[in-house]
Amino acid sequence: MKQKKNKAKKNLFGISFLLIILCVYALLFMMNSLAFYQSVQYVGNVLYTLIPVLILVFLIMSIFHYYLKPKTISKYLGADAGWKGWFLSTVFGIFSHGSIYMWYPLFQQFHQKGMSYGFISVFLYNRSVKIPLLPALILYFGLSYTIVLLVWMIIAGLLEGKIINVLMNQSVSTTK
Amino acid sequence: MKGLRWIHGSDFLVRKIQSLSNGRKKNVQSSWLDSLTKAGKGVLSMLPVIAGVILLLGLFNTFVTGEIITSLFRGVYIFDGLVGSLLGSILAGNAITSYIIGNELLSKQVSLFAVTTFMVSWVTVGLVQLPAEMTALGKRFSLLRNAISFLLSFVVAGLVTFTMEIIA
Repeated sequence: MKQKKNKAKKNLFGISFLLIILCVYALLFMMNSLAFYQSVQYVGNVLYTLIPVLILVFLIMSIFHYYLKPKTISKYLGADAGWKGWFLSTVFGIFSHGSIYMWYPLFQQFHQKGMSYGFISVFLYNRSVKIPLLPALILYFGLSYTIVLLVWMIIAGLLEGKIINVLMNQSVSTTK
Repeated sequence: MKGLRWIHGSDFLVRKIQSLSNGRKKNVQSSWLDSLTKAGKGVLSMLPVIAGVILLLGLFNTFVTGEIITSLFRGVYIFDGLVGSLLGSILAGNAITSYIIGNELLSKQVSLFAVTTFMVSWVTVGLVQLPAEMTALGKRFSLLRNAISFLLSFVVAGLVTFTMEIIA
């Protein structure tokens, strides 16, 4: 019952958020049509690159739903997964593709199946290490800066995961 | 008589196996369908927020130009770091855009520390994506994660600058 209420609340929030932004676009169309068309063009370009990723996420979610049981997720990415969990969430984060918000639904379901918040944050932090964009980073800032930045970012990601685990566990224990 | 019984027995066995395999097929089909439906529902429930975030990105991209960003830096080390981190948190988009702006900032004598806070928070903190993150992963987790990422952008920038000075 509580879950259904939460879901309805979330849906209502999402729809109202979208409606507010659409209203801003409507105002922009009336006040500055050039800026409106520029924004729409940018949105079109983003959608063009995002739709294949969204389809990929949908397929991955379906496959994971079918094959991965909560027990397996808890074993490899649950609170007691140990170094395997840290390693897997870091590697998956580095090699994941597409915009960050495309991965939220997947992690929502992973968390419901037992993935710890710490590993989710490690994954999300390590998404900032973009392998396909490394040549561009090297081109602008040099190889040594790129290596130094990436090493510190991976360490920071693990640190963030540890902090999140501690803070989220604290919140669970205080609410209990 | 024995032969008839055997035929009857084997017929029963064949029917039993057929019904079992049909049942299993149905189970497999229904669980596949179930997985697809669940995944579809998960993606669909997030679509309004994702669409809102993309539309918001469009507005940012139109109104916040590289020149506006550069004009905000004052040449004061810590202040510039804070500006870099705040701007990186508010702005969003492809990481390559942050590299281009970062390079432009470096050429205008903005410190490496400030440029690094800007680039790190650009990819790790997402104020524009926050509504979507809160909807999917909860308010407390999303706010904590973004706040820690914001603070870590200073730590990472400091460590990167320090390491680069040692290397140089």
